[in-house]
Amino acid sequence: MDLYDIILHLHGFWRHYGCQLIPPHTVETGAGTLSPAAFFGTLGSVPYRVGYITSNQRPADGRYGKDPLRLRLHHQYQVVLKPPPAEIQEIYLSSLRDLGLSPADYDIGFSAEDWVSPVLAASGVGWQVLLNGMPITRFTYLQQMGGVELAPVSVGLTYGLEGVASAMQGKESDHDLFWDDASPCRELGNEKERQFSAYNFERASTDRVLKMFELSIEECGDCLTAGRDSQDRAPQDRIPWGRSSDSRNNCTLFFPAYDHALRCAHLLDLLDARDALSPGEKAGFTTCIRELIERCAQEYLRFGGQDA
Amino acid sequence: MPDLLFEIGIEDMPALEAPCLAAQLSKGANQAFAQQNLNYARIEVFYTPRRLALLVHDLDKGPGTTTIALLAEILPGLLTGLRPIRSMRWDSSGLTFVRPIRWLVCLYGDEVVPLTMGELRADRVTCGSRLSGSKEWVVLRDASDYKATLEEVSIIVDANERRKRVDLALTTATTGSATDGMSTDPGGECWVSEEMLVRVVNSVEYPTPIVVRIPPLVNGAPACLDLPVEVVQAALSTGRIFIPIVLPDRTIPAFIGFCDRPSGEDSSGECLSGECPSGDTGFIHAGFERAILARLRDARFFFDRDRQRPFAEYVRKLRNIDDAIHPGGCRFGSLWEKTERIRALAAEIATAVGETPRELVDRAAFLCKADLATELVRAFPELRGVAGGIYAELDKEPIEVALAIRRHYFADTAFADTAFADKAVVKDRLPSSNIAVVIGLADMLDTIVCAVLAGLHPNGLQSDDLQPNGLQSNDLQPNDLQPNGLPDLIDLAVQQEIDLDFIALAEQSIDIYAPLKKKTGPEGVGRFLTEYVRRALKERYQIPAAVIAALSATKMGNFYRVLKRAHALVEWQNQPKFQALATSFAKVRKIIAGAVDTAQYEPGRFVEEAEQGLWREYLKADGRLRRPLEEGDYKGAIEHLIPLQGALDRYLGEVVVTAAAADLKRNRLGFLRALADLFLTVGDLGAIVEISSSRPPAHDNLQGAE
Repeated sequence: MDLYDIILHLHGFWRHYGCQLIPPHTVETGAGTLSPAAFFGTLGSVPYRVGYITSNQRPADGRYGKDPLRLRLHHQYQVVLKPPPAEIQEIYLSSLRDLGLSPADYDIGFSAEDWVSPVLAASGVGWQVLLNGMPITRFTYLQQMGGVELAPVSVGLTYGLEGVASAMQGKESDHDLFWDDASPCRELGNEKERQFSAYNFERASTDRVLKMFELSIEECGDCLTAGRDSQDRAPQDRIPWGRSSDSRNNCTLFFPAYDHALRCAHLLDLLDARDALSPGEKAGFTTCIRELIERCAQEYLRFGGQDA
Repeated sequence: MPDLLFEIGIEDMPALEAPCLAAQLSKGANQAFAQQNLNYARIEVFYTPRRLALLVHDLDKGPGTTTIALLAEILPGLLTGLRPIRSMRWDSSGLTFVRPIRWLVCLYGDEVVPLTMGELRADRVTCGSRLSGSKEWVVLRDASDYKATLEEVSIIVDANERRKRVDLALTTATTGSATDGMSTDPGGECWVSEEMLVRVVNSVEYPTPIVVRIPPLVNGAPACLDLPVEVVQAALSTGRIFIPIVLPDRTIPAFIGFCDRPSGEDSSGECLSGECPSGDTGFIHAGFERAILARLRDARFFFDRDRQRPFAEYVRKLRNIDDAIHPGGCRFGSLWEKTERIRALAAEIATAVGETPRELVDRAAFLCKADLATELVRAFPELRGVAGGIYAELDKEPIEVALAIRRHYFADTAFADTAFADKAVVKDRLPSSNIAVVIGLADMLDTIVCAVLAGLHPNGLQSDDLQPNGLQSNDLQPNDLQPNGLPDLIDLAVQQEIDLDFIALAEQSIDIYAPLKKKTGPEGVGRFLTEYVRRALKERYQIPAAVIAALSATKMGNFYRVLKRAHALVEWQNQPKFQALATSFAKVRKIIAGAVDTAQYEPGRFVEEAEQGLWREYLKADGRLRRPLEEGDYKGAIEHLIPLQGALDRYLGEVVVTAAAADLKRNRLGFLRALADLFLTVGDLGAIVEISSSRPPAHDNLQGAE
């Protein structure tokens, strides 16, 4: 099965289980759980099921396309189920069987591993699922998100698509995986990996990235400040469809705020890969993003906790 | 009489937690049944990753039919009384546990005990193996059938039995005793720690070994088996554990992994050969091989990157790494600063330890934390020290330096070979070295001083500044300074007979802590260390409270000598002639208490014979004590104090100290002070009789000691 088949199978499987299939979010993130669908979706009490692909960028993991297993860009299939059904472990195993990975043929183990995201103020309890000893999925009962204790809890399933594919295709290197019938990943991504590694490790201007970070932080904070003064609103008023009598116009803009916070998280990763931060600075920036993200969660819940 | 079975079905528990929870369950059941006057023959607890079960043999039926109702009442409490390290929520029932609870079985004989918990109702149906991919329900007829019925569906509920199978597989693979042509490596040794074995045993319901032989070249690419064995082992010890078989020449011909299913050939848990995998495990064998190769390549990547620059260069990178030991996140500056402090402290400590050339100590101190900046240690933290030792050796640093880096976290040899091998992943049979001891002591002392200055305090010791951020208590747990089971500063100083006052050293060195943000002054360091040693004496060395009180009157910074003094006092404390002397000494202490600070007197002004008599005895004792004190023979020192008894009693009976004329009084007090100082080289003997006569001490933080 090539990578694209795997995605189609997972889409089909989880659609059958009532998951809404949504397109990937467009802000760079390091993991599927950072996507707003998972963040806002797990907050509040309204039942929620969703499945989507994410392209994850982790600047520090880049290896110029030379390491068989470490890539700056990798892909995940993320499922969020709120509340989780009681037989979720069996359902998950069925999804593997649907891919042809039957427990009768493969050794499937649940190796305990807790999950923490300092930026998201989030944590969960669960496992790294191992297929013949290789990690293929992170299976987490999310307990906390944006500093909020979740009730009900959600289950997050994060399939590492390259991992699943290499287990199925028997390849030693992620570069040898087949994206579809004709294309090994090497052809699709190697030059990109090289260029991004060079940028992330050597070329990115730390001064400018730092400025971008600061601008995003400011923009994020502004979005979280309710009701702007009239001067600020002026350009909006010139656009007919921008005018609205809806009282919601006065509420904080937590969705754009969250996107800005994600941008900050990515820029922080980039600065870190560039070795441009002292440990104290890094901790301070992380706290700064976390506080904004906690406010996004609170604003979202205040707004009613729907519409993720 | 019928048996009782109570099985809790759980989504895969962390492997190290299952045995702890089982022990709690057994203890809880014992107490609950005793409270309810339920008699039984014996309690057994069984567990796998997916179940925790209590089997009570021959539980008394009791009067009438109330037993079942009673059980339905008390058993849920047993479950909710279990305390996992971390609990979680999974539905809206309000139940919390280590992982979600998915089914309950409760049978008393062949009858279902109708208990409910959250949304679950106990029944007679348990869950079988997961091999088919969906739940296979297994019906239990009677509680006593539990073990046998589950074994029929390939689940071994008895952890001891799983352990036996694992042990057998490891022995078979290395002894060459296998009869039917299975792969064996005679003379090889399985490199595995006790902790890893527990994890292997408790991560499967039916362990079946798979031996994976890896040739030096796989598909034309090197299999990275030339990595140091410690690195190989660390790389294969997370997730599914693969145990390397290591031959005497340190080559690794094969690995053993365990999968969760009955073996294809028979059910006795015999080794499956790597070369001819049976139909059932062929896929798994191939998968395990790939998993091993992938992890080795990962380790190779880190190792090669680390080796791109000289090891000593990593010291510079320590500037960017925080030195934080406490979960509360207290920052003690960077590891580079720590390195500098270790260098300063090590130079001082080395003077008290033999065979420690100055430049080698300094080089080892300079390099000892550098591996914390390497990728290998970032990926496999358990290799700290070991990785540094390997890199230093490859860089042709002096072998003593490499050894010291490797060993400074656990500098005592005897310990490393036994207990440490059980705790950590790395096997370490190298001899210890004096330099490692020096660096180890400097490291530990620095950690403690930092902790004190940052405002942490040992449990129970009052501090004015608790919980600065409201997140967690600043109680310093024993594990914060040194992981459980590893020797701490005091243990190491005692074992290695380090004749050095660590409190004085810490106080003298306080200037090197100037750049840190401090929440307490140097006096706090002395107070802390004194309390720390008192606590250790009580809790780890089982020294009686009276003896600790006797020692507390004097400086306690020389841990080695404190313990020697403690043991001498313990030996003497119940002998009548010692007690008589101690009682007399208590009187001396009372007379001089608060009255005199300096031991100044003029023998020419002694007027009474009792005075002169005691003085002569004092001079004799003073001379005789010198040698035993120097040698640390405190038992002998006390022996030399005993003869003072007669003269001392006479003095106390005849000489009036306080009522005498002022200058006479000053002279007598000065002499008694000198006498007391002599006694205090051993300890405040008076405290022993005072506490033994069961008066509680005024300010004792060690209440509850015997």
